[in-house]
Amino acid sequence: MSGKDEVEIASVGYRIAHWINLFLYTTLLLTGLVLLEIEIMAYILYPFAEPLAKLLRLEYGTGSITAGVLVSRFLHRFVGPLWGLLLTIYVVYLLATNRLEMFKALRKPLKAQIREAKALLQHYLTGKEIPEDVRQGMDRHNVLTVYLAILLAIGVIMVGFSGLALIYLPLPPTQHILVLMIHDAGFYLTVIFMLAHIYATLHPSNITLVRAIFGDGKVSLNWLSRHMNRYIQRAQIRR
Amino acid sequence: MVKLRFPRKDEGVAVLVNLDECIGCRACQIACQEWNGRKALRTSFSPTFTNPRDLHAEAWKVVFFNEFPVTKTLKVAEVETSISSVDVIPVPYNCLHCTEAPCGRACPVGAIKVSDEGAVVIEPGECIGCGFCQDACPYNVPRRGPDGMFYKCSFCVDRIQAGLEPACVEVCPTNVFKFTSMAEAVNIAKNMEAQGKKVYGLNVDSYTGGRLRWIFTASQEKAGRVFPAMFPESAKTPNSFRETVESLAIPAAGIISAIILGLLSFTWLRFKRKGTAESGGACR
Repeated sequence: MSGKDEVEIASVGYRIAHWINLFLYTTLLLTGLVLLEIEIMAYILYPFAEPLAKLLRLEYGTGSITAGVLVSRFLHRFVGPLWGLLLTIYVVYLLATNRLEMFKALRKPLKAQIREAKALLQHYLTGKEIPEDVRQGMDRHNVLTVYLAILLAIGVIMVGFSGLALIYLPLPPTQHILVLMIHDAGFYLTVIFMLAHIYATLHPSNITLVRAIFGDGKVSLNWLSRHMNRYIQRAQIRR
Repeated sequence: MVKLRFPRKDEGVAVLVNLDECIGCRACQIACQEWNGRKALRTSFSPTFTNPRDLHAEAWKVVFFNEFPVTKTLKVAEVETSISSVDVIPVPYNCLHCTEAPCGRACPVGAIKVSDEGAVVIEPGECIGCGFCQDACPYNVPRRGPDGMFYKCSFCVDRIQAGLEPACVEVCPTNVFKFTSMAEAVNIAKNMEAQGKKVYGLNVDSYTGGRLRWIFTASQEKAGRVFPAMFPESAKTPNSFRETVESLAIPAAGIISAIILGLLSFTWLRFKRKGTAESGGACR
């Protein structure tokens, strides 16, 4: 495929944002799991925590775990608001520059959306070919992606607001329990998104796109016409 | 690594609290503060004598004054006079040191230790101030201090290990508290129950271990008034949902991972057989 036939599908800014999101989410996931599931996470934490405890001159054993959890908790409470701030800036930027294209797939009639989602699910889970008419109507972000993004947005909003409340509000125990529950539920929603996202990423259909996201951001026009036909028409990309 | 060894239900020591003997002098409250080096708290007006109004990082034991309006009748010769009055039932209250303490199970750093005597103790240098212990406590006992860490009654474990009684027990002028072995305390409590007294701490919900290290007894009348509010028959940790989800997380993660790997292997094999690894058709 010649260079002329390649189309930039993920800009530098997009890829940087994706890297930042990946890094910060992973940090929050690991540090959060330390607080949620210490019985298991202690085994991962210990090799890092033990030298730290020695450095801080804490006693052997529980002291190192305490030091590790303390650092994890600090990171969790620092990175969480930071990520929230970056996400807010990013969304405001997308809205201000009219670049929030993700939800355009929702303009389709509900029946068409359900048909597309069903076809994609069957394709992902069983490898069944996507019907040609559905394929022709697929945009930059397909319906299934948008549904999952909504799930992620709900999860992030739940985690974000409850996280801020847990850090900054002096909550009485009953409210603390409720807010923590919202935080946990939001986290589980993001986990559902991440599992689906990782599954899609590792799916053979999406290898080209994954290479683009972690590479130069370009895909072949041929690939694009098979996967995002409607986007080609909308963005007036010449074949 | 972060594991607790809880004593058996018949192990350790216990305090039997006979509420019928309590006169509400608050000596136990002050002795607790004094022995544990807690700061004195500025008192404030409140609807009752209870001061401070609740457990506090500086007040690990508080005498709660339960007040009930009553009408008493005075009969002199043939004249009957009704007098409105208030009955006061003082209840000295602190951490109950549950047998399988939910706070100890919830602590992510193992800062809550269980001593050989069964005392559930927050190790001051190890608390990180997350508040999970407070969320887990069925009796809302641990309290956050000004340093962000949590504090609660330590059962005066340092005194017990030195052969002494807890400070509150030793100082009580009316012998409300009886500090003894768990087995003996349970026997005495059972005898008192047989004599018609109400006992709390023998058959509590199994979630908190089924037996407490603080066993409260009172006359039926007193118990009827204060037990329902202060000592729930079914003491459950408020965030048991979280604990349940946590226990399910590992098997769930294993099953989901297996399903994902299985499906991915299946689709990859199918696509390879077709030779269409990049032309399958979906997108992100």
